[in-house]
Amino acid sequence: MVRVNLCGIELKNPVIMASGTFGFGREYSAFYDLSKLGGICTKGLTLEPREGNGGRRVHETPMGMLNSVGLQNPGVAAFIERELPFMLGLGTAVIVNVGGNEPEDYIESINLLNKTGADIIELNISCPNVKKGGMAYGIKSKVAHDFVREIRKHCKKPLMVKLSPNAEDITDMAAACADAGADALSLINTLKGMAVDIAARKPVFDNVFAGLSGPAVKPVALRMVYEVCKAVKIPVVGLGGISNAADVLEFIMAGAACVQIGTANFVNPMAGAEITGELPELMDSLGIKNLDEIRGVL
Amino acid sequence: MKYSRAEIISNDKITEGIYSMKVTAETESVKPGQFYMLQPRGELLPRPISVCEIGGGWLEFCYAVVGAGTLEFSEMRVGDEINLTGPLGNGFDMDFINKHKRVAVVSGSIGIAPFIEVCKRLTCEYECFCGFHGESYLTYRFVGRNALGTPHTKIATDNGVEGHRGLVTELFDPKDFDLILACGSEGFSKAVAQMCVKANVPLLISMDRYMACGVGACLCCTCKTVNGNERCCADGPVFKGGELLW
Repeated sequence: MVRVNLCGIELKNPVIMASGTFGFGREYSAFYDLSKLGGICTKGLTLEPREGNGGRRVHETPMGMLNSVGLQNPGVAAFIERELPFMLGLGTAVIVNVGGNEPEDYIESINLLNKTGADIIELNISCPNVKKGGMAYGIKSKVAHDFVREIRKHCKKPLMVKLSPNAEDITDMAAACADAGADALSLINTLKGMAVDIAARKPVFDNVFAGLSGPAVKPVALRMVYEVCKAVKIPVVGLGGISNAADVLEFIMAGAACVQIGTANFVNPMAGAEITGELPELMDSLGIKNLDEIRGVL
Repeated sequence: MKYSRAEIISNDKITEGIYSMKVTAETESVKPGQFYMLQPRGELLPRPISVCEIGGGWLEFCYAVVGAGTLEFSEMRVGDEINLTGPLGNGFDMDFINKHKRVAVVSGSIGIAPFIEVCKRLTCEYECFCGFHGESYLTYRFVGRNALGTPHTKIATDNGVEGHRGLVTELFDPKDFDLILACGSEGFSKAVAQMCVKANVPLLISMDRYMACGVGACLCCTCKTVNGNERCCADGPVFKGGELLW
C-alpha cells in the first residue's frame, strides 16, 4: 500500500532520509534496521574532499535550525571505496547527492558514480552554504537549464535535481530542469537565513548566511511542492520540515511522489523508523488504501 | 546507545543557574565522560549534557542554565518524563588514565560535571583544580561532596569569594603531573591545552560544541585537529589535547 516507483527504482515506502542529515547511514544503523526505509540520500559529495566551513555550524531558531556545515565530505572516490559498499548492503535505495564548483567537477563525479550500484543521482544545485557552485546554479532558470542539460548527457543513472527555495521562480525553475532532462525533482533545500550574536555584535556564522530547515519551513515547502507538482509531469520528492506520518500525507496530497526526512532525524534518531511504521496505520485510520489514491488530490 | 524515555527522580538547584537532575536509566554500558542528548519539550533540538554520576539504574546530570533548553530542564519536576539518547561519545578511558602516576583534574565552571564520576574511578594519585565564576563555586561543595573531596583540591574564583582569586590555570604547573584531564569553556580549554603543550605533558580534554544530531551524522560539532575535522559528538568529546588545533 505504500510502495513507490521513483524513476524506475522500486522503493518500499515513500520515506527517504534527506541529504546531510543521515551521513552515510552508519550512525543511525545503530538505532534501527535501515531496510525499513524507502531510501537514503547521502551527505552531499564533491569530487575532492572538503573540510567544510569554520566557526559555528548550527543555531536553533523557533521550530527550526540554521546550519552552515558547508559540504564537509570525504570526496566521491573515498565515498565509493569506504561508504558505498556499506550502503548498498542496507537493503534500501541509495541516492547519491552530488555537489561541486565547476560543471567539470560534477561531470567527473558522475562518471565515477555511473560505474557503481548507486540507484539515483541527486544533483545539488541548491546548497546555500558554499560560495561557488552549489546554489549558484539554482537561482536562475536559464542557468539551471543549461547546467542540467550538460549533466544529463553524462549521467547514466536516474537524475533527480534538488531545487532551492531561493530560486527566482520555483515553478519556472522546475519546468526548466524537467525540460533539460531531469527524471525527478526534490524540493526544498534549506532557506537562506541568518542570525546575529547580539553580545558579540556580529553574525552567528562566519559565512553570515546559513540554511534554515525544520518544521518552521514546512508550510513554505508544502506550497512550493504543490505549485511545482502542478507545473511538471516528472515525479517530485517533497521535503522541508516533515516530522511525522501526517506531514508525509500532506506532501503526497500536494502531489509529491515521495518525501524526504531531514531535521527530524536530529530531534529523534528513530524518526525514520517511527514515520515508516506510523504511515500505514495512519492511512488505515483515514481509509486510504494506497498512496496513488490521494497523490495530488488537492 | 539508544533513544528512550526516562523519569526524573530529582532535579535540584545547587546554586544560581546550576542544577542537578537525576533520571532513571540503564547504566551498565555508560562510561564517565560520555553524554546524553536530552530533549526539552518546547525546543526543537535535544541538548548535549555530560554524565556527572553513574548509579545503579540512575544517571545524574549537572547542568548550567545557559538558554531556553536548559531553562526548561531546570523547571521540570520529579516524576516528569524526558526523552533522551545515549550514552554518546567516547568518554574517558579509565584503564589508560589509571596507568599514570600523578593526574591533575582541571575544570572550568560547569566543566566539573564529568569529573565527579571520573574521580570516583581514579585509582592513581590525583589532585583537582576547579575554577568558578563567583558563587557558582557552590557547585563544587555539592557535586564534589565525595568524589572530588581530596584534601588537595584547590578552588579558584574570579572574585575571590572562595579559594584563589583569579584563574584556575594559575593554580597548577602541568610539569608536576604525568597526565592532565580537563573540561571547561572554549577559552579555558585553549589556555589549558597551550600550557600542556608547552610543558610537554599529555592532556585529555572534553570539548563542548553546539550539536544537532549528537550521533555523528550532521557534522555540526566538528573540532579542528591534526587529523582534520573530527566530530565532537562521535569522535570525542574527549580529545588528546596535543591534537586539537585552535
